[in-house]
Amino acid sequence: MPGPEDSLNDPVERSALIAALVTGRCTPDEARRLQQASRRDPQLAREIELMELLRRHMQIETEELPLEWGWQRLKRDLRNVRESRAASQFRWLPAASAALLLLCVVQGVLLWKQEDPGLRLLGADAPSEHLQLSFSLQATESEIQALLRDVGAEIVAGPSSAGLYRLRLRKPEPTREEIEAAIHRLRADSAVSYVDQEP
Amino acid sequence: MDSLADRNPAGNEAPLDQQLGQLLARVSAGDQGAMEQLYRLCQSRVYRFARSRMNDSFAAADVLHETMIEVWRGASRFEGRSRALTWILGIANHKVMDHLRKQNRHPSQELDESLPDVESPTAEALLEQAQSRTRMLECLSRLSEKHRMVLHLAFYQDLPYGEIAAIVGCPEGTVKTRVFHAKEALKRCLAQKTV
Repeated sequence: MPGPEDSLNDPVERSALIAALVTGRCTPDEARRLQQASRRDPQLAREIELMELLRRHMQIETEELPLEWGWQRLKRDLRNVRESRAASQFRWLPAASAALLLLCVVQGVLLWKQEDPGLRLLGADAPSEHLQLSFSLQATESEIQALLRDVGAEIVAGPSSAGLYRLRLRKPEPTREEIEAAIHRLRADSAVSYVDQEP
Repeated sequence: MDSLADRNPAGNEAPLDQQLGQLLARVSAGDQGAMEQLYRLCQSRVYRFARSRMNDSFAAADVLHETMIEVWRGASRFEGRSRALTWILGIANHKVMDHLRKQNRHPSQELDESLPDVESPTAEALLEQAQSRTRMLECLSRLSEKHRMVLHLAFYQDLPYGEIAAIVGCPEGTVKTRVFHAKEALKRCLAQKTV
């Protein structure tokens, strides 16, 4: 950091000090030192005077801005921004709804599994013959078709916003074992990222 | 010479900044009344900042408008790390740059390099020229855009060099050097008619 005397000897530092003085940003000590120096150095005194003139001229405002017109125009555009912002704020809604649906599905499945300790009698409470499934992002259409053929299932609805499909086994009235075998087969395939029986 | 206390513009800026900070908080909650107050407080400063850089009142009015739209959109991004006015002028600075780019005007063009070196006039002669506001403004308009900008921020907006550096996006030392060279260029211009 240059000292006070260095500041006055270095033209750039001196200029900065003068700017601070004319804009009232000097410390009282700096201001006093600068004023003392300007009494000894007429060049410095003229320099200060010139910068004071520059500031005075710049501060004078002769041009009137059309304030009211400017505000009215801005107000109109603010409304548009607000409307488009409101619209964009709800862009997340479909995705959130889908996520909520998926959560409900998963919760439902978990609850159903809790209620079902695996001791249910065959033939009791006919299960849904529909499966829910999502494919991995890398899965190709031909892979999916081959898999569905192999499992003996077809897509009956979907995809939802969350990318879920509803599947049905082609065989009429499949047994629980057949449904579970299909789920097992689908889970084993890399084209499938999620599959379960529809609650 | 006036006492420093008599001419300390910083004393008037603290309440302005405080007011702007509070208004920004309300604007971020979508308060249009606060936005109107903020517009009325800032429009002159933002407009004149843009005008000082662009020498074009129509483009400056556009910059004012675009800056205020951006303030409305992004008020919640203001975290109070800088002064509110510095933050707003920083946005205006980006808008000016965009305009200059669209007009294919390079923001750092050194127009005042063309000001000829003249024999040093007497200090009295320079001061005599500087008395005329028209003459001073004419010389300011002949400076390069970046030199006009730093002089405007230092002597119209009365901002300290640190704040100017934050708006312009350069080190404080660069601002210091730029103000020095801007003043030298201004003196060269004022001297032109005096020799």
